[in-house]
Parts: sequence; structure tokens; C-alpha cells
Amino acid sequence: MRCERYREKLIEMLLESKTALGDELAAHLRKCSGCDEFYEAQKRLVGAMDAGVRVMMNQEPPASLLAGARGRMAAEPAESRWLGRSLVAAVVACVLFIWAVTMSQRNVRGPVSPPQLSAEVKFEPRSQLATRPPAASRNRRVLKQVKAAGNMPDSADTFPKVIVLPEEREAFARFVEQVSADPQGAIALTRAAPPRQDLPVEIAVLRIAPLKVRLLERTAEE
Amino acid sequence: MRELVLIQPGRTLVGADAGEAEKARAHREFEERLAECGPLAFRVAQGVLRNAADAEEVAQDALLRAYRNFARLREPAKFRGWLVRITFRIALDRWRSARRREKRETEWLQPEQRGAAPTAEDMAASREFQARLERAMDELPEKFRLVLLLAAIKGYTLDEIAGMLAIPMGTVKSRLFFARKKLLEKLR
Repeated sequence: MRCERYREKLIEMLLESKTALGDELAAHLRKCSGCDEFYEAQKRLVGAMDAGVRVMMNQEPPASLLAGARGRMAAEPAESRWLGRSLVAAVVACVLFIWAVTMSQRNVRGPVSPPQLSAEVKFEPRSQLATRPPAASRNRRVLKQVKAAGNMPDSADTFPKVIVLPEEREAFARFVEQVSADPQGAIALTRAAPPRQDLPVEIAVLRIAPLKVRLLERTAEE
Repeated sequence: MRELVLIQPGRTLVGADAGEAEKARAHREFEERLAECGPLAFRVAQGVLRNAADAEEVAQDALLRAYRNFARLREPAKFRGWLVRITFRIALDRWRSARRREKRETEWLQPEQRGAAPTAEDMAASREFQARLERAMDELPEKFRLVLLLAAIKGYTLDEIAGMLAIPMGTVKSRLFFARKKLLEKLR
């Protein structure tokens, strides 16, 4: 075995705190002065190392250690009570905060209510044509969805209303009047009014008479 | 300090009385362990911090934390190991923050210190060796360091350390071997 290997073995032995050298190691140390010196140096180093750690770890604790610990323990219940109370206060504050945030969000969004649909669609007797609010079809679709979801009762009295402004109604009546005054230009057909007046009627078709398409005349400048 | 709970004959403790009695019992049990384990906590902290005042404070912190949670400890027989781990953890935290602070201060003070560098003669050889040893210990991985520190405390066998840390005896031996090997490599 080479010296390197013997030295590794010697260090292992020292680190395992074995005191007795084996026969082979002892014989090598007797023959090899270099390894013997190495062993003595390592033994001193390991000894110093262990002694250093032992000194560090075996200092007497100060006399005030236990008295101080007892003093802090005695002061502990009051601290715990304070801690308990502050914890309760913190939990209550969190709950109140969450509640306040939830309520404020509800107010911003407004109450959840079914869409407003017309229950007061009136017909202009002069034109025999029904008026309909522009968003009626959209409203009807939403109404169907709400009904399907079961959020709205069937009673007509409970239906929300679409407010159609008088000027809107007048404007639409004027438009219908103009169209009906020239039957050659356009014919507006209506379906028969449904039995329940709370549902809006709709204009089914709006036909425009054949249009004449003419090429623009060229001007003199062109 | 002993506490007595007086109960009228034929009456059992209920509600708040029972809670108080339980607290008193826990306090008594903790007090019994305090005298035995307080010095151990101090030594573990001292091994990490190497400053008696800091170690005392850390040991008291650890004892207080153990006292607060003593009722939750399911196996009172494991109290010693539990306290050692609490102390070691707090001491390591303290040591790390102290090292950061020291590093900052060293960086600030370095230009002033350059002129007054200590000569080689000023440093005693043993002091230098101790400083090298401390540095080498600081660099050890935590689990190896804890075993090394506990093994150096008088009165604790490797078997006891294994029980304290709830690890097999073989693991204690291998960790101790590795820790000493690392130290030796750094000291050479």
C-alpha cells in the first residue's frame, strides 16, 4: 500500500476517534518517518479542533438565564390575552371590510333585475301600424332567457316597461305616414296584433319599389 | 413554584376551572423541564453565536416559544429534542442577520481600518486558530453542525443525540464524521 492510502486511513481513524492503530498501520508508521510525522501533526490538529469545539460548547450558562426565562414566562399570560384580543379584533375588522366591499360592489352594479320590456306598446290608429321600440327584439331575446332561467313570473303585470318617449313615437308615426302616402314607393306590411297586448308586434317586411338606376351625367369640366 | 388547585369533595372541575387546572399542570411540567433543558438551550445557542449575551437571549426566546406551545407537544418525552431544534433555528436566524449586519458594517468601515491593520504579532496563535475553527464551523451544513455541537456538549452520548433528534444512530455517526472531516480539511 502506498503512503497516500495509509494517510487516508490514519485520518479516518482519527475522525472516528479510534485510539488503537491496527497492526498494519503501526508497522508502516515505524518504517515511514514521513507518515509518522503526518500522523502526529494530524493528531494534534484533530485534538485542537475537538478541544476548541468542546470549550465553545461547554461554557456555563449565566445565572440570569433561568430567572430571565421565568420572568418572561410570567409576563406571558397578559401578552397572550392581549394577542388573543387583537386577533379577534383583526378578524372582525376583516369581516367588516369584506362585507363593505361586497355591498359597495352591489351598489355599483345595481340590483339584479330582469330586463325592461314594453308592456305598453301602443298602436297609432291613424297609420294602423304598430310602433315598436328600437331595442324590442333584443329585449324579447333577453326576456326569453330570463324566463327560461325561471327568474321572471309570467304575469303581465309584473313585466317591466320600456319607456318610449312621445317624440320617438311621433317621429315613427311620421315615417309610417310618409311611407303609406306613396304606396308605389314603399309598402309596409304588418302582422296581425297578437292576442296579448303586452308583447310587441313587429314590422315584418319593408319593401321598396323597384328603383331606377341611372348613370351620372358627365359634367362639362370632366 | 408550585401551584395548588383546591377542589371541593365530590365536585369535578368543569369549564373555566378545568382550563385553569390544565394550564397550571402544563406550567408545572414545563417548570420541571426548565432547569434541565435551559442550559442545553444556552449551549446550543452559544455554539452557533459564540457570544454569551446573545446566546442567553436566544435561549430565553426558545424557552418562551416552547412554553407557549408546550400544551401542543404530543409527546413530552421529546421535549429536549424539540427545544434543541427551536433554539438552533432561532440562533441560526440571529447569526445570519448578525453576519449580514457585520458585512455591511465592515464594508462601511473598511477604508478607515486600512491604516490600522493588526500585525501578525498582535494575534495570538490560539486566537487565530479559534477564529479559523469558528469560520469553518459556520460553513458547515446545518444538520452536520447541529450534530457536531451536541456531540461536543459534556454528558450527551451519541445514542442520546440520536434520540433527541429522532434520527438513527448510524446517521448521527456519519454526520459527525462528515462534520469533523470538513472541519479538518478547512483547518489544515
